[in-house]
Amino acid sequence: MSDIRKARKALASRILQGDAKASPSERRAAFNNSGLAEPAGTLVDKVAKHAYRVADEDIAAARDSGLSEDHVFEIVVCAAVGKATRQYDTALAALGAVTGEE
Amino acid sequence: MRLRILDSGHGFGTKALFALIRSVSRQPVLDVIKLVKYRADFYGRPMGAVTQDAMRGPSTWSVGDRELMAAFVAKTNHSDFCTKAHSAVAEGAYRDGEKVFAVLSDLDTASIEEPLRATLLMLGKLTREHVVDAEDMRAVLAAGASRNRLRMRSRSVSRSM
Repeated sequence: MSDIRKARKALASRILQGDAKASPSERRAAFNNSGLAEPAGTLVDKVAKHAYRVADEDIAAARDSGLSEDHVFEIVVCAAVGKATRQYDTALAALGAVTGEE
Repeated sequence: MRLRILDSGHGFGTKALFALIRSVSRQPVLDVIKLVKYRADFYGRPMGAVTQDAMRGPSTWSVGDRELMAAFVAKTNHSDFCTKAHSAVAEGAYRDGEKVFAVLSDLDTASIEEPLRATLLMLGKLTREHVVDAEDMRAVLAAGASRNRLRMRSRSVSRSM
């Protein structure tokens, strides 16, 4: 396994399976941008699709729903890394379809 | 509303480091530094390993190329800070500010190598539309980029999230 693949795997493993305030299932949902309750779902969707549109109100809504700041921090990180991971995998799959390599 | 933990939730050692940075630079600590230093075991350190490999690890793309790609992806993501930061590094690495300015102003007309242009176009689509397909990759390969170079460059997106 290349260094970059090892590093990416270690990053995903840490944020999804390591110690955290958010449960592993919540972090996985944020990573996949799928299945999070509101208002966290809206925040995560914005991070994944157009992060520059995240507004103060999105963070405030997540906090007002009872999430701690550490909890918000974790799901935002998971959402961003999840989106980047999907883009990376999509690009490599497209390249592999042309070159016949994984 | 910003997360207060990113302003004041760091440990004693990191707070001391921030105080030193403010004292020496006479500037506030950058938000990106506050982010990667907060609970660094969760995000900053493992992400730093990815970043180091993607941006400075072994590659047939130069550091200037990689920083230009990061700037281009950041611009596509509407991230002004990241666009400026990566642009500045790319300008330094290339020793050519006009090249970076030209690419970010109009990729179609910028005077750059065709493999780099095709790769940037592909990265732009991937960032904007979140998908690329085999046809997109064939276009890049036809422009002269090698398979290994493309495998390496998918990392730019991971880096510029």
